[in-house]
This record gives sequence, structure tokens and C-alpha cells, in this order.
Amino acid sequence: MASSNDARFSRCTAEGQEELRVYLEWIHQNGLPDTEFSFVAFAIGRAQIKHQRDLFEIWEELVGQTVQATIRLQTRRFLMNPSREIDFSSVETAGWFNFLPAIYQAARTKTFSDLTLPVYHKVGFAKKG
Amino acid sequence: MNNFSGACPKCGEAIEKSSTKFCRGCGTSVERFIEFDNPAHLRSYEEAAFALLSDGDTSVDDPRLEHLRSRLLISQSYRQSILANLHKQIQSVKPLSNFRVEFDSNVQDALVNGDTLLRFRFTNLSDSEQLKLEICWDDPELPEDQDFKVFTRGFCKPRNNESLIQTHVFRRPGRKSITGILAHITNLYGDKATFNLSPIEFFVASPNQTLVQHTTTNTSISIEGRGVIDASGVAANAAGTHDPALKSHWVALQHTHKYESLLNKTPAQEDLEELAATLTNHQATKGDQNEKVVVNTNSVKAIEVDKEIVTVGLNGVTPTDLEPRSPLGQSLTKEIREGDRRNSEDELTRPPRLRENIEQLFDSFVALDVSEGGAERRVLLASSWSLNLIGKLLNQIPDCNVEALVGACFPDPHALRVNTRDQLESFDGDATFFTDRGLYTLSSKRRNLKLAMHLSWLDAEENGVNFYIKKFGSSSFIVEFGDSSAQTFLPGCQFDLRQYQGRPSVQEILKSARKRLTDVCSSYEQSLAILNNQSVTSEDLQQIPAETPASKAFNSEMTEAHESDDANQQTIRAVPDEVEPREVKKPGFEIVELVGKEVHANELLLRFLNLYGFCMQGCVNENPRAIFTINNIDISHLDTFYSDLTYKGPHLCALSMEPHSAMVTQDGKLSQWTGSSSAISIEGIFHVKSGEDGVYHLEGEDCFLPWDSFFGMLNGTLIIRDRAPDLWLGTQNRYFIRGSYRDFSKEVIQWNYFQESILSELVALFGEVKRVLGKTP
Repeated sequence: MASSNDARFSRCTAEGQEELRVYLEWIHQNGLPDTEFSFVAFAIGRAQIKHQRDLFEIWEELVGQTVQATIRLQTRRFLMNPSREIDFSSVETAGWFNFLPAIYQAARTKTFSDLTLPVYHKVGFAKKG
Repeated sequence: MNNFSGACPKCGEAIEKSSTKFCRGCGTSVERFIEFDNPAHLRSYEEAAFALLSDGDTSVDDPRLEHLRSRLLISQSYRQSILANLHKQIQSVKPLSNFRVEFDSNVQDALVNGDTLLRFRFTNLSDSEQLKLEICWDDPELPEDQDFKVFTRGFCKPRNNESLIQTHVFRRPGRKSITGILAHITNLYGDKATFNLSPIEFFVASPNQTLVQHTTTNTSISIEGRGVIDASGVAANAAGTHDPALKSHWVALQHTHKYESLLNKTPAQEDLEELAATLTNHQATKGDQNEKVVVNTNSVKAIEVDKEIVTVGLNGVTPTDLEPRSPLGQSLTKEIREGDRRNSEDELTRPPRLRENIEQLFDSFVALDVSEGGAERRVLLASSWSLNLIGKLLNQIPDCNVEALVGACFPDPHALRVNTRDQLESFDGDATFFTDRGLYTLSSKRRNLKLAMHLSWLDAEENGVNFYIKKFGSSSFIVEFGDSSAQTFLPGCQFDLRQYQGRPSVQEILKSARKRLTDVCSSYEQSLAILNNQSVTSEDLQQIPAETPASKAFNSEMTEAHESDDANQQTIRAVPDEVEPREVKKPGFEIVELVGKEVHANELLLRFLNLYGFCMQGCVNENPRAIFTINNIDISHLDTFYSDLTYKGPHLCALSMEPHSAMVTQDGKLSQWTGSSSAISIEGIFHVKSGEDGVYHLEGEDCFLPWDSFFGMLNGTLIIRDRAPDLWLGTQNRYFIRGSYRDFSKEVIQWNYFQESILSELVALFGEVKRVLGKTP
């Protein structure tokens, strides 16, 4: 069962607390570790979005244009390549649970453009000489 | 003359650069190549191919598929990729498709805003597979967390069935036809497939309109004014029988595989998706907790994920307090945004301005024709031609369609014959036809048409086709349109304005006409570029540092060399007569020593490929290589490689291949490889294949792609997408060098490193390579 003694509760808004509660229940029920990976999986699952890059796109949209380049790069690493080892249970992560409702809301309204991968194409003609 | 060469997208036939307007294999006009692989057509093709292939009786070689490809203008490469993807999916989904889903269409108590019980029955028809089913329906009237979802308790054993029951709340009354129901099937091994189920139908009533049936044997009938009559005897026959309304009425639902489109495929995120999918179950029970989320984003607080590795989030700072991005970051953001915008614009195969510009240009000819003052015109819009003439024209101009025709200039108005509807039926002599693909000259003799010449708008520009004037007096002119340097005009394009005194003046008409011609040529170039869209590089290249004196001198030397080259020479190499080719092992093979500027070009290319190769390793030296520069190839292997080929040219700079097809020595040098690879020299890219017998050979007739074609006609470039993130060498949708694509979506830290430490140098080097090898204008 989810622990209501989790230190993050004290740092969360009411909505964040609710998200944290659902998150904790989910990881406990599925026997998952409380890591970055679990959190991001939780976020994209709850937001019903396809790819982490969409999650990152939402984050970028929500924080605006003026965010520091370093923070942007770090956040992209976190959202696109969450670690299976890095613990997410510290109190400093509480802000992310407050952030989740905004992500859900944005995911409902935002249209994500598809990304087509290039394919190899052999182009050439006869060699002369 | 022509600016396209390569393989024909329609038939795959090699197109030799020095020729030519039409593919030898299928007759497709080279100009028409830009129409291939329209994104909408690709989707249509994929859908139709799936429909055909999934019936089980159709093979990938079915003539209907080929017909479809031909109609939708799908290139060979896309055809192969799409069909392979579909075939693979259809094969993999077969073991999972052996099931039946039924729906109980006798839905009871379906009331608006109340719980409506929906019942499904799942039968596992397989003899061996244990299957798990989840049925989902995205109710458009409800928030996503309240969508309908129901699943089996566990794996259903072979030849068993299981009921799936779940309630759902409908917001509006009326007859429901529910479409878009998905069935997700999973087997014990984690193989998954998604199927579309056929629609289900039932009625949802409004509570105040509901007739409630009491199934009591004591039925009372109230007759106004006569009291209550006991009618128990009337109902006696009904006693003890089941109400038919309560009986289940199972309807089997058809299921069709929902394939994953190749066109949507992005880097795999299987692990995360799989984990996230477990939330589906969780949400089914917790969904109501997620209703109506309203958040003030300003309240989002500081978030620190891990002290050692990263700080993520806003750190308690409002966006306005934050420092502006670095120039690189700003630049990338702009590139990506503009790249995305361009991506959406790419849906168009041709800029809308092209047609408009050509029509405006043709108006200038009409103006020149009118200026002669005669009642009989000889510059005629296509709208005034008979369909009979158009049909004959199209027979002579392969792959031109009616919409492409704009108008024509005929030499003599008296040589034109019109039908009873005043439409041009035929003409005698030579005429010039204007289309959105360029200029065609045709000669007509005894009503027989024959194509004499074709110039694309690009050819026209390169060959100096323009308006020029011959002056006979202070205001007496003849205006001609054709090769302005040789003063030879195209058929029908001479306009005698010696008597013309009207307004606008001849100079004004000419000024306007020349500008329109320029517009046509540039919009035509854009239309070609759309196929090979340069996503990022144009801006990237703006970041290239100014030329150094040394590079300037070097480039100047190269330019002079180009100018002195023979006009027909296709490559940048200029081998002086006095340099004797060095013969190596095989009579058919000659390595040519590099001289002067070629040595510099080689060094430059080598530097670029070294750095690019490092990027292809994900910027981690320990990762498998895709690009082996000459120093990273085992000498004995290189000798074997050379001895197998029949080749004459400078030695290789690098071999590039998919990373896992390479075998390396203990010191990390390439010892051999399997399959196809790209061999790169300052001449260009050679497609080389390693045969099953271990012998290397050039891959087919179309084995060579010179750099000037790569950069010129193909608009090949270095494409960097920050959104994905990924990079490659090629065009918007294709890369032309094997192993030259790297997806960094799973290596974002490395991408960050790439952006901070490598990007600018790579772009600068690429710019220099392009300047030196690409003959860019």
C-alpha cells in the first residue's frame, strides 16, 4: 500500500498529493522501484501520450521560452532517458507531482506532430572513366 | 542540361547524369520524379497494401499492388520498406489473431448518466496460445480517464472462453453505434497485437422516458373510472417463463489487425511504453480521481531530481527570471521550430506560387502578342485548345498531365486551325509550349506532332534562356525569347514590335517579363527542393565561420580548376596528363594519385568523416563504428577490397556501413564486413556490396553517386533534428550513405554533448566539404 508518510506529501499541493498517492499505489501494486523511470512511465501513461519527446515538448511549452539552456538539456535527459537507477523518492522531486496535472491538461489539447524517420535510399549512376 | 540523375523512383532504373529527360526503363519524365512519395499517397498506399496483404491470399508481388504503386507514384524504396514492414507485422500477428469476441447486444437498463452494463465474451480459439484481452473504447464525450476499458482476469486458456463485464456512463440518449473499439491481445511471451473490432449498437434511453417492466405474475390494469381489476388470471400463462428481454443476444464482432504504420514509426520506446501500459489497468480503477484537472502553472515549484546528475524543473524561479538561452540554444530552437513548420508545409508537393508565376510569365507573352496589334493571335492559353490537340500533346510529352499545360507560342497565326467551337485543333510548324515543368518545343507536320526539345525551368535558367531585344530605331524593337547569349529564339517566341507605340512601353513589358521569368525559375527550384528538403542546414551553414585566408585561397584554386575542367566532366577531379595512374594488382583497377588541391580536399573530407563517424558512434568511442576512415581499416583488408573491384579513381577516404555488419580486429580496425556499404572518396560515394563468397563488388549499374550530384540535384545535406534528436546525411526523408543515420533519442546526454562540443565544428567542416566537393553555386 502507498505510504502516506512519504516526505514528499508535505511539499505537494493538494493536486500534487493526489497524484503522488496514485503514483505510490501504482508502483507498490506493480512492485516497481521509485525511480526516474517509474515516474516518467507513470506520467506518460497517465497523460496518455505516445513518446517521451512529447512529454518534453509539453514541458517546454509550459515553462516557456526563457528557460536556461542547461536546465532544458537536463530536463530532456530526465524526461527522454529516465534512469532506472536514480532514486525518485527524495523530497526534492515533489514539485514534479504538482506539475503532473498541468501535463495532463496540456496533453489533452496539444496535437503532436508525427516524426518520420529517414530511410536509406540508394541513388547513383554508372561510374565513368 | 538536365539536373536530375540517379535511380528512377518508379522502376529503379539507373539514370545517367549526362542524359536525360526520361527514364530509359519506364519512360517517366525526370521532371516528374518530384511528384513521387507524396506523404498522403504514401499513407493511402500503405492502407491499401495492408488491406490486400492481410487477406492472406495476396503476396507482395500481387499485380494490384504494383498498379497501386504506379497510380500513387510510390518509389521503389518506399514500396519495399512499406511492404516489408506490413509483411513482418502480418506474420507476427498471426498467432495472436485466433480468437473471437462477442458482444451481448441485449443491453439492459442503458440510461443516460447511469451505469450501463456492457458484456463481452472472449473465446480463445487457439490450440496452444494462452491469450489475454483488453477492450478499450475512447468515448469522445468523456474525459480520457473515463474511457471504456475492460480486460480478462488473466490469460485465457486455449479453447476456453471468458466473460468481460464493465459498466460505462453515457452522457447522451439515443441509439449508439460505437466504433473505434480496440482489442489488445497479449500472449504469455509478451507478444502483443492490437485489433479493431467491428462496431456495436444498442439504445441508451433517457430516464424520464423509460418503461420499466415489472415481472410479477400479479399484473394490475388500471382502467380509469372503473377501479382496479385483478388481472392475475391474464398473466397466468406468463408465470414461470423467462422474460425474453433478459436473454443474452451474443453478436460476434469482426476483428482486423491494427497495423503500425511505417510512416509514423519513431525510435522505439518499448520498455517505457510497456511500463506505462500497466497504468491502463490502474487507471481503470483510479480514473475518477483524475477528473477535471485545473492547474495554475505559475504555482509549479522547484524540482530537483538528483543532486549528482541533474537539476530539472524550474528551481523555484519564474520563467521571466531565467537567463536567456545560449546563442546555440536559441539558434537550435529556431531551427527546430522552423524545421517543424517546414515539415508541415512539406505536405505540399509543389509550391503554390509556381503555377501562378508561370501563368503570370505567360501573360507577358500574351501582352507581347497583343502588342503586335493584329486580330489574329498566335499566343494561346491552353484553355483555348481542343481536347483532341491536348491528347496528342500529352502523347508526345510523357508524364505531363493536363493541369501542367499553360499555353503556347506559335510562329504564324495563319498556320493555326480551329474547330467549330473556336478551339485550336492543330498547327503547322514549330511551337513552344509552356508547362509547369518547363518549356517544350514541338513540331507539327501534317497534323503529326513530334517533341523536339525540352528544357526544365532550371535548364532554361542555366542555359541563359531569357528575353532579349533587337533595336531598329529609337522606339522600334523586336523582342525575342530564347538563348540570349547566342541570340537564338525558341519557336514562336519572336515578337515584332517595330510599329508598337502603345502603353505599357516595350521596356516596361520586358522588365516585368524578366522578373516573372526569374520568379518562375526560383519557385521551380523550390519545388525541386521540396523533395529533398533541407531541414536545418541552411541555417546551420550560416553559422559557419567566415573563410580563412588559407581556405579562401584553396577555394579559389578549386574554382579555377573547375572552370578549366572540360565541360562534360562529371567530377571535380582533374588528373593532369603527366600523372601516371598506379596500377594495383588487377588490370581493371587503378588508383590515381592525388595531386595538389585533391590532397587538401581529401584531408578535409577525412577530417569531416572522422568527426561524423564519431557522431555515428553516439559520441562514444567505445560504441561500434559505422564509418571507418582509411586509418581505421586493416591494410590487408583494404588490399582485398581494392583487388576485388574494377575501379579507377582516387583511393578511399572511408567505408561506411550499418554498425553491426562490420567485423573488426583486436585493435578496432575494420577487417571485413557483410552486406552493402558506402565507400567514400573525394569523387563521391560508391555503393559496394560484399558477396556471400566474401568478394566485394560495385553494386549494380547505379553504383556511383558523385558529390556534385549529392549536393546539387539531390540537395543532399547534413540534417540535424533537435526534436528527435537525430542526424543524417541526405534529404528530409532519406539518407544516401549507409550508416550515416544516428538516432540519439535514447542517448540524450550524448546529444547534449554533441550540441555543446561537436555541432559547430561539424557544421563548419560540412560547409567546407560542401564548398569544395559540391560545386555549390
